[in-house]
Amino acid sequence: MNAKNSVIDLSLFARYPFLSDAGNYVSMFNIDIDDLSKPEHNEILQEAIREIYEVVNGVSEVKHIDDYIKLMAFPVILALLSYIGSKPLINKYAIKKAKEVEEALRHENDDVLCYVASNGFNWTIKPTEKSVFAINFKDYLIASAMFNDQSWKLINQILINGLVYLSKSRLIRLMAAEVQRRIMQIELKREEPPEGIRSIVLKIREAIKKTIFERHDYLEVSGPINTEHFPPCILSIYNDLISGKSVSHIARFILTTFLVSIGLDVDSIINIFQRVADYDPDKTRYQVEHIVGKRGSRTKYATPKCENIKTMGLCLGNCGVKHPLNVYRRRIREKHERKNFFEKKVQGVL
Amino acid sequence: MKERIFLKKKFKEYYSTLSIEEIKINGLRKREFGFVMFEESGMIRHKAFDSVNKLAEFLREYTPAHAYYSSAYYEHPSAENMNEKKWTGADLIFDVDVDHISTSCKNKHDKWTCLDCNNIGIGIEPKICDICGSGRIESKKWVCQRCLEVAKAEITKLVDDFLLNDFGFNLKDVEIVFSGHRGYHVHVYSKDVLTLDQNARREIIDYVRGKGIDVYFLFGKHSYEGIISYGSSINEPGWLGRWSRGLYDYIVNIKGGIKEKMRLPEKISSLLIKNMNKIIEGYSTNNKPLLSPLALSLKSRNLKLLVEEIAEEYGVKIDEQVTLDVKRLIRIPNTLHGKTGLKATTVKYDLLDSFNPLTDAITFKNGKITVKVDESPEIYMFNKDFGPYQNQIIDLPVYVAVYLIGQQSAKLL
Ligand code: SF4
Ligand SMILES: [Zn+2]
Ligand SMILES: [Zn+2]
Repeated sequence: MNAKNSVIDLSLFARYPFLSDAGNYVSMFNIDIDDLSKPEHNEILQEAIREIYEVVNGVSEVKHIDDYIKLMAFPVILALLSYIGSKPLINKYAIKKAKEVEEALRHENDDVLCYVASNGFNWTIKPTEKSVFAINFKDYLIASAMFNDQSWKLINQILINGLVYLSKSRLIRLMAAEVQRRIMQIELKREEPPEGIRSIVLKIREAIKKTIFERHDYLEVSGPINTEHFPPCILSIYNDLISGKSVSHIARFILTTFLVSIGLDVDSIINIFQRVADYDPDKTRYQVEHIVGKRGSRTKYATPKCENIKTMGLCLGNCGVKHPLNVYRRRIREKHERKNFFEKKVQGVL
Repeated sequence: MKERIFLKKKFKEYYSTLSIEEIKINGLRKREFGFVMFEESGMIRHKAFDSVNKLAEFLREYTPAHAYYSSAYYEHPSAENMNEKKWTGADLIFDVDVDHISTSCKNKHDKWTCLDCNNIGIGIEPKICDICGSGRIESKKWVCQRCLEVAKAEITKLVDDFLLNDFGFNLKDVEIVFSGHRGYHVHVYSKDVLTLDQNARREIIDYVRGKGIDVYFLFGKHSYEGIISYGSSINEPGWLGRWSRGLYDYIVNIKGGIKEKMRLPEKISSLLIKNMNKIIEGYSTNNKPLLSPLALSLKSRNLKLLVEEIAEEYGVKIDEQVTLDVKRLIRIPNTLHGKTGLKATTVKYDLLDSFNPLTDAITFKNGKITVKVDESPEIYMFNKDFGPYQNQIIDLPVYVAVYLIGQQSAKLL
């Protein structure tokens, strides 16, 4: 399993194409992006496109793909994604790939797990007793930032001498999270796609415009949502959420009801929740729609009063109001008044 | 003004004899430096030096009241804009300051005044004035032997239990420094922490503070369904054992009447007290607290409270912001503190036990000088008590005079 032995295991590389050994293998072929349109590489390009469309359309078919093609398609997919330039699409692909890797890792023995972790992520890892692994706390902290659950907090791990001890199943979840994190980090290319893939990139861009998830996904945080009007309690939940910190269920509930009240629609809200690491599109949609009143009991939930937010320990300031929405309305009103005031003044001067 | 010139002269004496060895700084060229001068308020920032000699020269020539460097490393440390600086990493810093720990002696030596209504009080200042609600509160705080001992105990716990044992840092990467005033800093220079972002540092903070511990982690090891374990042995590594030891200490202490009860609901406290013997027995027979919802008939919500309170009590009371902020400036080890004249002394790990800042960080050991002291509580320096003073003209050793002048409680004649 050691890279130095240089046994090229194509099937292993196809399962874990992010391995550095796999990367080295791929680069031996020296295929440039512009070469992809050549007939001899057509199969690779087609596979990459197929996998992206699976994500766009939210389907997945069981299909046997040749290991070589599957492996070679991986860097092509990443390149295409960065030219397409849709963060949500990248996130969706990352989630899908992570699931795939997680599934595959479950069937590996301890040695392969350690090899994938160290060769793929450069983690310091060692097996201890059977199926208990020790990894460097730094590697643990970076990967586990993807989880919100209390059980992943560092304080709830066994940490001895710089090593975090994990069961096999938790190690596998952590590795899948790391795959997701790394893919989500790929950078968007600002420049136009190279000739060889231009038409494909444009076509996929077109295709995602038609899907719901994309319509609101270009929405920027600083865009229509004006957080400067948020009361402290809401702002803090919102900031925690978009910076990937752990946010309790109740806090998410409060935020959702608040965002509904100020006029965001379901998709925009889901879009905000997409920034969370353990984001599950279906579950999130269900929960948001539930709160909005489209599902289940069909009652629309209101944002709790300050009094209640206070007892939950989430109040962060004495805003002097009874309801968080009062703060929001007041600030909007003040802003308008100020604007009017200045406009009047300017007119006066003129 | 006279006073500032005097302090500056004394500081200059110190810096002119300071050996370069004492201000050897890891990654000096990549750090931002900041200084507060005697002549003006406000900080000079975005300075950079390309050698320790240049830094020493600066200290000698300009002699600042306070000298800081960034815990962060930058590609362009002297760039004025944070983005242009290009952050490449930061040391992991811990700050234990008695400001953040309540000690009973504070009522003896700390005072505060509301700048709006002149309301005054003793001890730790409130965030807002209880009479007029103003946030403009000025406090007068003093160094005290007891406070500093408490801070040192926290630092010892931090370094021994957490940094060396749990995190496994090398002692050579851990530097302990008396802050020059009311506490200690610990700098960790490990490549394992260098590039950690705020999220990761937040996890380290919570670990060290004992925040966010999970009942299931302590008691549900064998089953996430129900809580079946009686707690971990006091010998277990990390928080498992630490928590059990914490509970034991706590119970023994309330039993011995040494400790007040924690902020726990009456129900839990009384249950604990009722079951005290059973729990202590559990410890002596099998090293484990005999603690389960059954033994204590605690509801899981209450067990959670108990678990969290004990953990926070036995965590280290660090100032979270200092550890979290990866762009903060921090006092340069072995420079002088402008408010005390004390040296921000690096303390060797082996000597921490015997280190006494009010002796060992004193710089100006020679000579006496006459000053007029407005007001000062009793202070203890170099094994001697001075004061309390009230509007008094008195001959004092230079280090006491510097200290009182730095605290703006004394003037030259
Ligand atoms: S007073 Fe109300 S609006 Fe303001 S922070 Fe507290 S709960 Fe939020
Ligand atoms: Zn007042
Ligand atoms: Zn004190």
